[in-house]
Amino acid sequence: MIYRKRGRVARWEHGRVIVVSEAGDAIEERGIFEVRPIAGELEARLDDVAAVAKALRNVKAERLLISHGVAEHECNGVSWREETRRLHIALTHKHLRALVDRADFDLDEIARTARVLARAGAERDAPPRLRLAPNVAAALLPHLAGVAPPNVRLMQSAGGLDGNGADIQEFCVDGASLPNVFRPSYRIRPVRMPLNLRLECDVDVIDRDIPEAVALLAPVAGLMLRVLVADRQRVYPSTIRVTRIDAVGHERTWYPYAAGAFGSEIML
Amino acid sequence: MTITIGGVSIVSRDGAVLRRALEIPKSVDRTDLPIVWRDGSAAVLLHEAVGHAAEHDAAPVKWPSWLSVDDIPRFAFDDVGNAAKGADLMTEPPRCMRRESFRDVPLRRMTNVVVRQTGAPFALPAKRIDVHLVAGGAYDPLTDVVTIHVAVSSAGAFTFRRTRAEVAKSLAGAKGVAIAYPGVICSREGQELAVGSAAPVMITE
Repeated sequence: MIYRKRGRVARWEHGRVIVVSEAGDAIEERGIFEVRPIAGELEARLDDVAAVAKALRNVKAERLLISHGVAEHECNGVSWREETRRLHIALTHKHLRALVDRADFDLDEIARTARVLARAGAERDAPPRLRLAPNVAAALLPHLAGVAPPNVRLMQSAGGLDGNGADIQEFCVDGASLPNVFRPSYRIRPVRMPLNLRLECDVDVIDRDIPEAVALLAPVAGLMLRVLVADRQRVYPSTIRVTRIDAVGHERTWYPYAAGAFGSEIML
Repeated sequence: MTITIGGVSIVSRDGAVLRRALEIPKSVDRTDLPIVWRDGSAAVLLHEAVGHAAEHDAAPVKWPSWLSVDDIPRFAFDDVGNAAKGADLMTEPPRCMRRESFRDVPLRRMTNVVVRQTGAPFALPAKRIDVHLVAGGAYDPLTDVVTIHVAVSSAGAFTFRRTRAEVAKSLAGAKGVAIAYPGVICSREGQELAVGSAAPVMITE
């Protein structure tokens, strides 16, 4: 199998813009995976990532990475082109760090998180009932594979092509072998992973009067989430363990966690 | 090269070193005893507590007067073409710029951490934990907390987590010359680099 990629990306990192053009082959034959750079640049117009960073200059960020990339892929006689936007920001307030990962440059959401974080008080126990904002729920989904409660279904969403150019199939992630592969770089052997996860539940009514986990304060560890909770005027950090899921909202947004996850509101 | 067995890695071509370390039996049930950092593993602790803190311009803490932690490059030029210069990590950040690949931004990073001691003998306590290999470590500039995940010790695997000030206060002594630790793959901003590490046998209380 021969996989070929040509790509161009602009990245904002540590106050600099880095533009990288790269092309390479990955050949996998008889158990040997070999990669090499190849000639040829992709012509692509890229976003002004420095302008996005400039628009965020008023938020207190410990780390800010912004990228826009365009890539053309070929594999198994299939060619496809994709465009990606990624934004990672670590917002800080005192000893707290809120992590935001997005696949767009919607800065309103980041400004809202920064405002909520600035009101954070002391650590409190998790409330008995809580709803997870879509960005928090999306980060949880990859960790639900194989351990999702019986009243919900963790699904791979059909649409698009996987790392070998095969159609991404609709698939229930329940421990059976996975039909698609994820290839984050031409230099990495593709791995079987569920792509574009979403969570389904027969109950979709979300109680908006209960506290909301608005942001992650640390990367998700298994079913443990360290989150920033907004409960009317009160904001506090807390640690929760997901043991049950009561409802999953309908509206979904794609987030760049693992091989992609559609976040929707979840009520615990 | 990196060799990994059972989730524990060393940077070496000799897998026997790792196999021998993994055979060390667990003989202590507590993790609240004095810790003797053997086989150069104290270099990982001070890589996090001194080296990364220096990279982040962290506030000074009072380190023991017998301790020195230096970055001593083993190459002539850094990754931006400047002559490689050493640094006293207890008073200044590393002076070399390094990057994982041509795609990465050069960052001020450690190259080869050498920990030394001068006149800091200690008596080996009967009840202690002997640490031989660590699985990883971290320094959080926001909380000033150092975390070391110990992989092989007489107490088995455990996690050591203290503020930098607590680490400095707990350093009670050291013996002998610096022993080369079998490799640290240091990750910062997603860029993984090999950093040389050496330290004498050291004790924290």
